[in-house]
Amino acid sequence: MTTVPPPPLVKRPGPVRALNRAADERFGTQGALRRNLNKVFPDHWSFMIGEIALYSFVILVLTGIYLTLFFDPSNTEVVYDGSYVPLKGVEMSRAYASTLEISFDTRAGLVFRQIHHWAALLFVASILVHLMRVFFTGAFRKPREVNWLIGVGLFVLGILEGFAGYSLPDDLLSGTGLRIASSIAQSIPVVGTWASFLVFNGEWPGENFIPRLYVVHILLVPGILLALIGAHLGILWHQKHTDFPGPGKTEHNVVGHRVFPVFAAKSSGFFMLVFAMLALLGGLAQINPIWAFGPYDPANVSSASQPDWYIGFLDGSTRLFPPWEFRGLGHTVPAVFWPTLILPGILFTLLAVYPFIEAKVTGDKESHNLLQRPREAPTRTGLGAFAITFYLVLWISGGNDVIAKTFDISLNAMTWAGRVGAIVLPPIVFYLTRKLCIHLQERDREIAEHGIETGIIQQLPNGEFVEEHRPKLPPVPDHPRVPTDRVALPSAGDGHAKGALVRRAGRAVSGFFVEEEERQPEPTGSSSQHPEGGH
Amino acid sequence: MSKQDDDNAGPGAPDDSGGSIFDRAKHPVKPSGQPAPGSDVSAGGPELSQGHDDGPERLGTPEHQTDATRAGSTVLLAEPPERGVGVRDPHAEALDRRAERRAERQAAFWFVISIIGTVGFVVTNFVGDKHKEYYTPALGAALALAVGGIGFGIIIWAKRLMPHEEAVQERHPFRSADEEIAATEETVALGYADTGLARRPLIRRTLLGAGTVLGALLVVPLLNLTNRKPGKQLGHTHWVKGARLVTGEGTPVRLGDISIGGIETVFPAVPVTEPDGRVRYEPQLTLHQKADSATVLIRLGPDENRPRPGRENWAYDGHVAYSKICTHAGCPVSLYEAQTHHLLCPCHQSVFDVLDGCRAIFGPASRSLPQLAIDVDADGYFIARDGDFTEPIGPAFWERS
Repeated sequence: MTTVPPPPLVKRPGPVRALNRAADERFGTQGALRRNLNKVFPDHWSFMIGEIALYSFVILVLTGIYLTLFFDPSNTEVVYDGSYVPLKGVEMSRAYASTLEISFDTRAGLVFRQIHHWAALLFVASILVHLMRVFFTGAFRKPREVNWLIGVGLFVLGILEGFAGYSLPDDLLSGTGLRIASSIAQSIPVVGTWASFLVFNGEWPGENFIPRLYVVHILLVPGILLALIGAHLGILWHQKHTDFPGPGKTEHNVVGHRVFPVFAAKSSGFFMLVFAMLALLGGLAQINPIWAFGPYDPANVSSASQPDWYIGFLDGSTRLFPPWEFRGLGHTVPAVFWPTLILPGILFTLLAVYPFIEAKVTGDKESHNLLQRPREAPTRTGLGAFAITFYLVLWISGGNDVIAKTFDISLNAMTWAGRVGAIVLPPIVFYLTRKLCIHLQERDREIAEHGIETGIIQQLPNGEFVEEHRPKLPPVPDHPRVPTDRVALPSAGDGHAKGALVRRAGRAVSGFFVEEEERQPEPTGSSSQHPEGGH
Repeated sequence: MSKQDDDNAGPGAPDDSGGSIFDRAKHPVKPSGQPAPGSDVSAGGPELSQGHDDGPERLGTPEHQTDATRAGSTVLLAEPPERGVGVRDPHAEALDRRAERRAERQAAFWFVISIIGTVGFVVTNFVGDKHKEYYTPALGAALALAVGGIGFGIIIWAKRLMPHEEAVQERHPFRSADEEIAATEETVALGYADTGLARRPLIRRTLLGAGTVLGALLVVPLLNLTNRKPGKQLGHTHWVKGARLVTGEGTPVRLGDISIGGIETVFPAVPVTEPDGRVRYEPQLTLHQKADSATVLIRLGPDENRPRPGRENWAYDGHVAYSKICTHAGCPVSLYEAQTHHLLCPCHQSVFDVLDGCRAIFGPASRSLPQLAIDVDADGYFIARDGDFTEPIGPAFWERS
């Protein structure tokens, strides 16, 4: 399909065209609408991971709204009299009782509760995998550092939001998690006791804490998440998506499908599939069966109590960290302070500033739109593998009691293996990964210089045997290439006003204040409808 | 469309011959960096100097088809190298009317499945019995069909019936032109000059001060979050002198209730003197009371206990009582190994040695569990002999020495 000249204006518009024209007369939408419908998004499976996070968030909002209609965030003690027989007559908070009601006595309550929980797990998981994709391909490099920072913020907030969410039902497991959270708050030097008292409104378990947590979970954090996701996508839209190198792809173009219709269709189809997957999980795979844990009791805990997976690495660091408590001058810095506040503080700070560190070290001040393969940046890939190894050791140690029990290993051995592993394994993995990347690069260079081995042996006239090498063929575009614009206006080029958005906006504003004849000629006849001058 | 483009791809290509993906990564297209318009951007085949027909004798097996060789291998040997490689073959649907109909029917099939799923969801929701086991799985499966049907249908439609072509869009640098930057900076500078802030330090300083004070006002709502000053609260529990040790159900524990190797979680029941002079014991079993007063009462074998200096008479007949709240992160220390006399916290695997004053012997906890001095009253019930623990229970904090 090639670009065609614009057809004459349809004389008798149908309802859709009429609506479009009504909007245009009020907002002047046509240029921006056409530009955005024709916006090109590149195709690669790894670009869909971030989409999964976005769609999980949408599903979280939808199912979450449903749950808020039935959940009662209240610490008030009641005696349970619902349809779950084993807990009949047990004293519990309204929060726990209403969660039981959602699970047993509300139509479609349990399925939406479980979809909500699975979606939360998927949300944080897809953010993490998306983060790794962005890291290992160098997508965070200039000009996209700000979006990296927003992404790290989304990751941290996603973890907090998940923790707040599974702490709300006030069951034994979530209460135990909150008890640990209050101990962590209490461990902050100087202000810790006050911090804990302010958050929980008194000594643990505090006074009416669940309503506060509820506001954090359904208003405060989701609001920030929504704003940050909007900024994340807006920046992505404005800066255009990165792409892997390929035939015809340069630093100065994007090759892929237009938003309308193929990209929009595929994305909405993908959203539906993510939703379907979560619906299946929510219906068939039990998650967080709070009725099995019982209401919170500060004197009870179930063995092998495990947080949701994204808290696991903090649980692990807490288990592994040696009992280093600093005492002196009448004060204490508790051991729990280091692995739960200092360590994640360092980890997330390093994560956030990584793009700036790398740019500083490599002296790379250029803007990049083409991605790198992990092997092309051996040190970065090695550092990523270092971080993943460290994270995994902590994460596995978060369940070291379960592993010790399942495989009949001594728990102390598991703890020591985790302590040693967290220090020893990451450097080894860094070294091996870096080496692997360099070897892969060498092999690529080898193929580039000598071609691919064909397995065909030739005998030369002098009797020598040689293997035939064939040059590796360059990759081929999947589909025919077409220009972005379907319909070209005679004077508007590719539909983009020259220059950045800011400049276009600036011209639009300044155009409002100058005489009509000073303005640049508009491509369409609509400019004649502007008021003469704006004074 | 596709057929034509396919043919066009050949001639325009040979000037662009990269060796491998590695080279292409470094120099993705012509050094000019400009994408060729239309189908011309498709890569061409390299110039190959193959003289295989009149070359030396060939031994060995025919080559294996791999992804890397697929595009060119058979073509390459049979046809002149300038022929090159084109885009992927168009899908059957673009050429074959029957294949197109088939794809259409498949998409429509999934949309119908979605309708069935939605109806199934509605019916299950209203007619189904929510107390039956099938209810939630049926709802989940029906919802999955309802949304998944639309998902599959749309994707089949998009992938097999919409035209396959890749649009090429140019990127534009974000940096503005120099004069534009200069003009903007000057605009701001002139505006700032108009405010006169640089010339009027009095306004500048007072405004800055007012802003700072206003910012500090944020502390007020923060402090309003609680009216309970920490004070010495963390140093006290609900144990008082003479309080009986009662179970979670409020039953007082007598000497002999626990056998050797046994353990019981106990809470205080504080003595209240009634108007008629009788003493009543009131169990302290609310969440707040349990949260700091939970205690484990363990019966050790004779002479197994190794009391700390000064605590020789804190135990009674092999019974010892320690705070149940872990000194690490506040979880209840609830696993007792009677063989080794170890108490284990299930949250972070701290281990406490009961025989040695509940010293923390492994894991992240650093302090011993506080001990409660116990005795037995005239009626044979266990009581807290001296009142509260002698040190703060639970996780440490800044003010703790």
